[in-house]
Amino acid sequence: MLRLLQCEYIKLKRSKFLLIGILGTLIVPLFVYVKAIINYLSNPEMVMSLFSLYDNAFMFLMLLFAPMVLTILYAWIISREYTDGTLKNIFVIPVSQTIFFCGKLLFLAILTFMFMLISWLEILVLAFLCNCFIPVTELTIPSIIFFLIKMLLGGILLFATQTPFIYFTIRTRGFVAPLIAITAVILINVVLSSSGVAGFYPWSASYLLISGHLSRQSCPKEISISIILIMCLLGIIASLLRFKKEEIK
Amino acid sequence: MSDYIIETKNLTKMYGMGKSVADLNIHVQKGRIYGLLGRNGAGKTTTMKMLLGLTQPTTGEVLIWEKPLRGNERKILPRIGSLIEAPSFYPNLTATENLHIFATLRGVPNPHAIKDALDLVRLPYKDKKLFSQYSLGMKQRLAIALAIMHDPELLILDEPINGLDPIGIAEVRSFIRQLCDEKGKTILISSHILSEISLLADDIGIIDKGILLEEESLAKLEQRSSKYIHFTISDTAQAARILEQIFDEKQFLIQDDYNIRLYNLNLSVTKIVSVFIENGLEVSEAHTCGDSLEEHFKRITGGEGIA
Repeated sequence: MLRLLQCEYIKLKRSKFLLIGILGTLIVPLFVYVKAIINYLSNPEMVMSLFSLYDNAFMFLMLLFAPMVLTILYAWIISREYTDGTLKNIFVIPVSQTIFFCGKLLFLAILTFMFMLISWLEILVLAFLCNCFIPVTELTIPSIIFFLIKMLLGGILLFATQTPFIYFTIRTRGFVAPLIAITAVILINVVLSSSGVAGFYPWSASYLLISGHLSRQSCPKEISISIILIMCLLGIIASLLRFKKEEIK
Repeated sequence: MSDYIIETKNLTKMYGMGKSVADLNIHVQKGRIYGLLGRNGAGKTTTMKMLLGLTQPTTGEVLIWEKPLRGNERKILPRIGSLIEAPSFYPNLTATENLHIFATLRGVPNPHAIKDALDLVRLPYKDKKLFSQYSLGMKQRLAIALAIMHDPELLILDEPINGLDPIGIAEVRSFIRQLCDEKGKTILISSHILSEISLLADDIGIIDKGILLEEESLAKLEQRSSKYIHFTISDTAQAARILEQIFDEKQFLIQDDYNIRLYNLNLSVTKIVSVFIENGLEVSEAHTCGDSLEEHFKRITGGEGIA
């Protein structure tokens, strides 16, 4: 498995897509700070807290930005094996399709964690910088670790909710279909996230679980987690079955 | 025990209602170069894909080293090197990086394998040029390097000289010959270029519209296809009777009233001519001539398409 991960890493060398993804990840924390500073300037009595910064970041990341960026990145990493025609070189080596697929999945999960860590780190660095001019409360080590854990949990949920798009990518051998699908998912996120049924919608539920806002909803936590888990497993199984049926035509 | 490294049994591949390959039975012998010759779209690539398990046959079976490929892929495929259709690599990586990926996945134990393979195809090791910047010829060389990097016993090469310049073609040809003669590799190559196959292959399979029309050693094919004795005489019907009755010979072809071809070269031309004359025939021409391999292939495939 380590060999597969090493190969996936090499494949990304000089890739503009990864760079664009990382730059994209940097946008959300910046946006959160710009919004917070504007609010502070209009209302100087307002307290800027690490909690509110991360809470806003979770909302933009989990509901809007990360699903889009990750879908594009996942779809590109998978579909390039079709568009570059490299599958015919891979299928004749002694690595089973299942192991190859699992290696790919693990690599995508690691990328997701990497993006979440970058976002976490950026918010933290900006909080320290900001603290030099505008006081930021809750800037303590327990809070920092608490949000690191939340970010990593967010990464797990983001990865889990991406598996249907992995299936679309394998099924269509390109990234147009998953891109259209994620756009629709995000639009529904916007409509549903503040409604009472958001906990039943896996992509909104991920955000609600991480932000702790699910308690305000009618959906029990266990149901939301189960829906996400079932969707994740179905996505992985369908993708794997489809990938194992691949033929080089 | 069979001497065949590759043997197919009624191998058939259907796409929709059309047969891309039909009841194909090829036999590739150990330590020899087998050339699969056919026009574009004849079914060569589909056959090779089935031999590598890249696509599953609709019916029939592939035996490699006497074992069915299906179910034994993990044992068989590591012993095979392949190049199928156009060279395909990651465009953002160099040749060395691309080979490094596949060497890592294959678990190639030799640390010098990548350098050795690149040296063999005359591509620079650890060059900074990306695959996307390569010419078609360089891409093809890299694909050959990938095929040989893990020192396989069997090579399956689909149109390996595509995109190469004349010098490159000669180099690859001599390199393939060398692999077979010096290292005892068994090689299956496909091409639509007859001259290449005839310069390289020991055995030839001619495929057209998915059907194997002929499978023979090059030596026998040349012998069979090239030689005949041509007679221009006053009456071919009487000449035919003389050949049948006096010489007990049936391997001839009457072309028209005056021209006849005799395919048995063991008969004496002088003796036949004298018997013709004794029987009142006028013989104006009698000489040995040849169908080129190209003419032979065109005749059996029924037209153009093989260069």
